[in-house]
Amino acid sequence: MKFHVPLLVALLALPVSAAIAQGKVVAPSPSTLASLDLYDQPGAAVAVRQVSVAEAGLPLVIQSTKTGFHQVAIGGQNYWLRGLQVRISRDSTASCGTASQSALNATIATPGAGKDACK
Amino acid sequence: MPANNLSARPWRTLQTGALALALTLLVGCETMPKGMPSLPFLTPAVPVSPVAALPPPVARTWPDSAQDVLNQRARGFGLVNAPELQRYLNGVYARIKTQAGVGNWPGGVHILASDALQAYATGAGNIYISMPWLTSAQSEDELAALLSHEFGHVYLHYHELEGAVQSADTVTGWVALGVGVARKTAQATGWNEVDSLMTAYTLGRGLVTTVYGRSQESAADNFGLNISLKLGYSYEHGMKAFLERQASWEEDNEQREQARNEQMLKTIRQQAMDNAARQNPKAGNNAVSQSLAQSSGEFSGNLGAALQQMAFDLNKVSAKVKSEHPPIVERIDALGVAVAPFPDLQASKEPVSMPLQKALQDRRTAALLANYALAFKVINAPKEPKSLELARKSASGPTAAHAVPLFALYTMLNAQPAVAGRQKPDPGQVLEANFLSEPDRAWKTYQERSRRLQEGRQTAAAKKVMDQGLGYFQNAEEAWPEAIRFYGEAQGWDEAKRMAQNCGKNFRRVSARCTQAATSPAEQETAERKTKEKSDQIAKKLFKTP
Repeated sequence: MKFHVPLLVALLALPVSAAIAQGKVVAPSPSTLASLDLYDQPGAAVAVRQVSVAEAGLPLVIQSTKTGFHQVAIGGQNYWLRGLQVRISRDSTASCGTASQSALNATIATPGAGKDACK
Repeated sequence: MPANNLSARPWRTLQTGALALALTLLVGCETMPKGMPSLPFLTPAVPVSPVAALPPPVARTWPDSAQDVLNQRARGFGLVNAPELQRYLNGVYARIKTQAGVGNWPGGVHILASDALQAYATGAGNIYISMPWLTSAQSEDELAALLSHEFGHVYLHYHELEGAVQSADTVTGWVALGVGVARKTAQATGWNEVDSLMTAYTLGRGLVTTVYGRSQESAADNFGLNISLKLGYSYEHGMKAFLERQASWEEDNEQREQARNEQMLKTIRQQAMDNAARQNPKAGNNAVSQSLAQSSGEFSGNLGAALQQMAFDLNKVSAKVKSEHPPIVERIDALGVAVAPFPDLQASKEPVSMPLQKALQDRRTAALLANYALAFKVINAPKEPKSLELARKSASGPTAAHAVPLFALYTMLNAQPAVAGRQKPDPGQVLEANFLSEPDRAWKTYQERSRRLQEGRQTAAAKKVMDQGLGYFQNAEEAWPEAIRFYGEAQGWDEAKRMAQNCGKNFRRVSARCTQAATSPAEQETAERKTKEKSDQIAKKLFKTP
């Protein structure tokens, strides 16, 4: 029975990785970064090449994600980008329906995690 | 003359004038918060290393946590009663507090009944996050980062600021005069159509609060990074993901606002052309006249559209100037710089996902989230053919007495009167299910029910609902302004003024709003006339306008 556990863990991890592969790479991070390191596989220690941000063709659709690396196509070829080197657009289930129904007064609290984006 | 040329001068005039005026009034004002120069964040903040020890907590007197929760229940649609999900969130919050060395501090996590991406903390130690954060966050790393950021506001004792900002609000009297002057100046320069633009008051108060807010957010980001990393969560899936999601949400909304603005410009142009055509009915038989009328309409439409565009641009500038939050990208960059010296903190690792997934898959929680998703869908599109079915389902099972699903059903029945006719003669009755369930009660439902009954001249029934609502929410300051307005209309403005006095004594923060709510329509008209006369006089003196 023991040898099944890693397999189970791996299977459980699969949907997580797939779920994380949402969104697009929209910018370098930090935003002042001029070029991106391209890797031939996730987890690689050394980049196979670099591409300038201007030539990378942002935004890039993320094809898959694995342990801190995102697979994208640049110039017709697949590469892996380090998650820390890029900013990703991330979906949310949010909308502004309730905000339009109830104009909130300025909160008595400190400002929250971000500005109130519903106008 | 192209419309955009028309815009240049007044745009600058108003912007510069209002800004200068606001600054002048604020700088010279004795009611500026006395404590401002001594507040720590008015000096440039030194970023805290993500691995450093935290500064020791500041001793404080805690506001009553239960009253704080009641107050939040009186805002918007209130809170979602979801005990299982809150238990999970409070578990994460408890670990954050313990890591910070203040495990015994009060406060818990509560869920806002809002479909927007919202999160904030209060001085009572409570953290409020909206449902979309829970259904959008991809891992516990991200939620823990969000909670750590919010707890940063509590720990760093920035809630003292609430008092300072409230004091700053007392400059309203001075700045309101500035608004009048700005408007008069605007009229002199042809800007009378843009009264709703950025006002001196908005600018002035915004500038006062900006200095606090931006430093606060940066400090809370650093605090959140520090705590979440020490708890073993990753930077990439935690703080970075949380800020990236916030950034995407704000960008989406900006695009939506832009699209709405463009649609408005189109409508303004069309309306102006239609008006021109109506005002020149004889032009129909004469090609030259017709052409002139059309040109006149186009000119008027372009002028109106240009003014609207300026309003949009100016509002954006205003929002940027007074935003309490530094641009999100700057915040992500700052945290990237903070972790850069520590390769271990940048090591790629898998996010912690299972506990969050397990919490969301809890049977009651899953049903509750699904029903809220349906309710939000109906509120956003109440006229859709399937809305009745969706709304009914949303207001069933664990959410049968929750305010948002009931409001979705109510909204749908109002939007489709034909369906409403078959269902219930009075759609507002559906809201009453919320009154019967104590933990689910929201002030919003009492307000809406009493308002509609009052509009239908059922004053006794309306008053009964309001009496019940205020009886329950009487310790919630947020409930009072609306209640005062209601009683003013229902029982006379003397009663409203008496209530406003009590409100001012008990709830300093909403005192001005209570006084305003107790102003009768006739008094409002007189006040507006007097303000206009006064501002006219000052504008004449200052700007030598005729």
